[in-house]
Amino acid sequence: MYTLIKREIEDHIIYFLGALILSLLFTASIAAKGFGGEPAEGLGIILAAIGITLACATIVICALGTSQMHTDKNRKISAFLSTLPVSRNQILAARVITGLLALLVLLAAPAITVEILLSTLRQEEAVYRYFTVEIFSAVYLLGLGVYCTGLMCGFSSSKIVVTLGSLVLSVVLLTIILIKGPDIETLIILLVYVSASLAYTWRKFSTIPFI
Amino acid sequence: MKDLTYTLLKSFAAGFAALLLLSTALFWGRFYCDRYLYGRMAQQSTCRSATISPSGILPAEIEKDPNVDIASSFHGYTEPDAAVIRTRLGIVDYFERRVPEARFMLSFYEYVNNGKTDLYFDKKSGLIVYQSERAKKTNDNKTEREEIKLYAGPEGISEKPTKELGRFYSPVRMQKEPIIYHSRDEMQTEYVRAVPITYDKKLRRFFKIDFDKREVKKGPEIDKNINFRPIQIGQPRKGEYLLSFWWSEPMIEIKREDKNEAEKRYGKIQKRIVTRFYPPGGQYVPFLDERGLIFLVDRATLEIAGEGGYLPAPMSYFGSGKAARPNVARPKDLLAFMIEPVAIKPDGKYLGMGAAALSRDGASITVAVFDKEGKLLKMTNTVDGYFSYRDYDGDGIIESERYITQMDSSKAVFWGQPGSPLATVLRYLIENLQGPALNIASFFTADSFEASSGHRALFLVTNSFIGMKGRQAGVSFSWKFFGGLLLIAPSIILSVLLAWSVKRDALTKGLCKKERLCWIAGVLCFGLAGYISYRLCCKQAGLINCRNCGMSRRVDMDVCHRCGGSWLVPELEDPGWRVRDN
Amino acid sequence: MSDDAIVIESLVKYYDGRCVIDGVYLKIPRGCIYGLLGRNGIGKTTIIRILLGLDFPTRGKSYILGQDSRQLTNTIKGRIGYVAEGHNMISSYKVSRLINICKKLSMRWNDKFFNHLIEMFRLPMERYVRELSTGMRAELNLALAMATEPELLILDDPTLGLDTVARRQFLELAVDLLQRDGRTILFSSHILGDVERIADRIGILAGCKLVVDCGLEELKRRIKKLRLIFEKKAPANLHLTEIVNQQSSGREMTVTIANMDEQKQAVINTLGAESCEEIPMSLEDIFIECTRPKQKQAVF
Repeated sequence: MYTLIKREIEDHIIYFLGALILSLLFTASIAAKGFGGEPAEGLGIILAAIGITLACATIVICALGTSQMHTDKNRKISAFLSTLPVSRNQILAARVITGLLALLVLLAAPAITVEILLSTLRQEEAVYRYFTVEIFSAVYLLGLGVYCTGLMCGFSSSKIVVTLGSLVLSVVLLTIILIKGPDIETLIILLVYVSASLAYTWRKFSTIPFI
Repeated sequence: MKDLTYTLLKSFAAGFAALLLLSTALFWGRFYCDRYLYGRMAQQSTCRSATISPSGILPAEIEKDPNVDIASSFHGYTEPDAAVIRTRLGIVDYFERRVPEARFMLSFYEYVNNGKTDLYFDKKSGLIVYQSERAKKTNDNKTEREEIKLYAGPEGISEKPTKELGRFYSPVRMQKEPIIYHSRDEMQTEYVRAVPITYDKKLRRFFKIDFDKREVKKGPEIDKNINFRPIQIGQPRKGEYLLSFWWSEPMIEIKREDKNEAEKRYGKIQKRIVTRFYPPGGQYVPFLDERGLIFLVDRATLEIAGEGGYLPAPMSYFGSGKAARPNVARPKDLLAFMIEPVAIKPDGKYLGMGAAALSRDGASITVAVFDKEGKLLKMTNTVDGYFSYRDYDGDGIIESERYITQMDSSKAVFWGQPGSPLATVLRYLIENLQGPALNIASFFTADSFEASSGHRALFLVTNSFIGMKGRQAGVSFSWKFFGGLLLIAPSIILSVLLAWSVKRDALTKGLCKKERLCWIAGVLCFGLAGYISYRLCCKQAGLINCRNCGMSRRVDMDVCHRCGGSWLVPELEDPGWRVRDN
Repeated sequence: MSDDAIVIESLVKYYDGRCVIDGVYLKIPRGCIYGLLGRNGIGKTTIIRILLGLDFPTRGKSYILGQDSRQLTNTIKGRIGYVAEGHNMISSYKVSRLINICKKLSMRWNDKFFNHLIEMFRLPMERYVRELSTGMRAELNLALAMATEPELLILDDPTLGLDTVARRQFLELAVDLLQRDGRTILFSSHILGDVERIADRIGILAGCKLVVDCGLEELKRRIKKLRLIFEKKAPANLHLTEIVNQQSSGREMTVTIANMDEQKQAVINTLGAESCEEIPMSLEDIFIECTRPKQKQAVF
């Protein structure tokens, strides 16, 4: 499994690097602007950073998911790996774990910075309680949902579906956080969506011929 | 069996994903229709504000004073297009809930001259926690910050959370009470901090918690037989960003000879009779019951003094909505409400109150005035029409034209303006794309959702026309349901057409009867979402002509799904040749 | 079943409504070298891919080393070596990286043997797979397959693109290395000389069906080509079954018959031919006769 995950990461290292760069950029902006300022300004910085993170993350993560499935078909990677003592489930699991890791790389540093920043603001009770956890849980699940959408669209042989289609669907999905806010309801909906899309992807990947 | 399970799993998975993405897209369609409709409504002044003037609660000698230039009034006002964004976007609601004085927090922040105060209920200890940071002058005239933390329970206040303080179980949220406004005739500004009063639902008592004096006063226990469910204490309000409601004092012109030197430079000056004042030291504290009734509790004795009024039920598209009592709206059915109790100086004698309510769909405001006994004096609501203002003649702006129809604003928003009917029809069609099952579920559950959360629903469209129909009061259920079915007729027609298409395709593809029926049922229930998931999931099995019956048959089945014929038709087989040794 | 490395039962495969394989039955015993023959595009690769679980049958079942092809466990896969047609490996990887991945994922890996093969083939480790020549790719593919010491080696047209010498070397190496331990080889090709040299048993695919499945010598014994010369015009109908092919030209008739036996010989004798001569056939000749489109059907 480790070998498969390592292979996936190496194959898509460009996305990890992109995620890392974005992560560092946002962390730096939050840190530079947020610390030492007024609480309201700090909160504003945090929110702006989260919004921009989400927007950029959509493109990176959606592209990762789409690329993993679509290029697999072109390069016949799964076709080759399947002839080795490796099951389709393992190949797919390695792919999904890679996506999870990429999201973690993107969001971990900003989340930690936000939490530290909030703890320095004076009104730490009630107002900002669980704020980081709620916001970043929702953002992480949204990213995961976008990634799964990319995986599903990556099966298509049509380039339009793969590029535009996945992006449009991802943007539609992202708007759920605007509609529902980063509440528990949103988390449940996103969890179910992620589970559903992973189930669909798994079933499709298990039954697709490797030509 | 395993294949069937996996097929079901894939179908449900695809179905949910399709439903979620489609519902999200449809939400935005409805959102932009509403922005257009409510934006047009915003241009009609009478659609977005309601006024009662004269209020009728002041003593006759003030109301009927011939010198009164402008009578006392209650005004309710909303910004409909801003309301659309605020109510429909949960992210706005999320942050609004978190700011100080937010509606879901037992907390208020106030800035006194030299510090900050924080007050909240700690569930774990069952105590109300008071935190304050004040500037304090030391002996050598330096300023340093003093932090105070106090814990209040039913039995007292202490600097440490001890068991002797007892515990609160579910104290009702305390709303911040107003500070005294500066009054022009007295030319001074006062800031007074209210002593918090709360009600504990389990202990069934009111408590006055004075952190300055470090004492807790308990009121008498409320009789269990009294049906009493307070949800807010203080100045009950909801959706402050959606509804503005204020009391205007009567204006009396100051005669020229009475003016001071500074005032003589100006023309007409009006003097307020200071009435909009509800002192923290005043007689009553209002609180709101979950049925929409407003009661008054005596600040001194902490006993219930009587009913002060109620939240008036606004109009909705299909008439007045369901309510616990006629004309009374439940707080959860309203997007916003506010009350303005009125007392008169100098003794702070309570006169009565005004209450304003913004309907669930944000299209109607109702304002009501109650006397000191809680009896309804006057009520009005928003209607279609406008006031046209022109010219300033030195004394004020002249209203030059007034046009009011009889159409209630809740209907006018959809039909009253040019372009609105088209947007309304579009909105109606978008709602119908949701699928009959969800529409019918919306009909039945329309009343159970809190007003603003209903706007943010993805799957159930409780603030749609079908939802409004579900909430319609005063009509028998069967007529209401029949009306609802007519409303969702486009949805039903579309589902039937799609189901018919699925049936034909499924027959061609050779799906077994069970599978076919499941898909047809799914498409009939969920309409477009069901159809999309059918297209995503249904196998593209190849078809060839059956040698037995001549019809198309699936290549992956051992027998023809039409005639049951097997692949081997001996009389048609080529005898051929084989060279095999096993 | 346990004695057979490969079992195929009533295998049918359709692609977009076009039948590619129509009811194939096949059993390959362990320790056998099986040559699967057929013209281009007849379905040899399809059968192999279905066996390995890379594709799925429309109907029917297949078993490899006792397990259903659709549910192959990693343990079974670890016992199979596969050289794909066209030597499909991940062409964007470097040779060293590809080797590393295969080594880590394999259950068994004979490093010493593998290194010996790499040295023998002189494969460049730091070059990308796509930059290798066809021959080098074939060698790499074979080395990767053999390093796992497979019980069953499946070679799908492994000599495609190789020159004669390279081909000979490849085959000899494969057979020499694997036959020592009684391992099984399924070897698909349309180059008959290679198959004739090494295969124990032959299978020939024609018209979507497996028309031949027997030992090589058995096949030569059972398919006969006869030249008959008649006094007058050759008859149209021979009243014989299992006619593979029949051609008439005036008084002369050439007929290829499957499963030639005494009964059929007796029938031929009754035809009254002036002469009846057997034309010896090589495997190539048999293959051409079996796979040529029918010119005359036998009517019973």
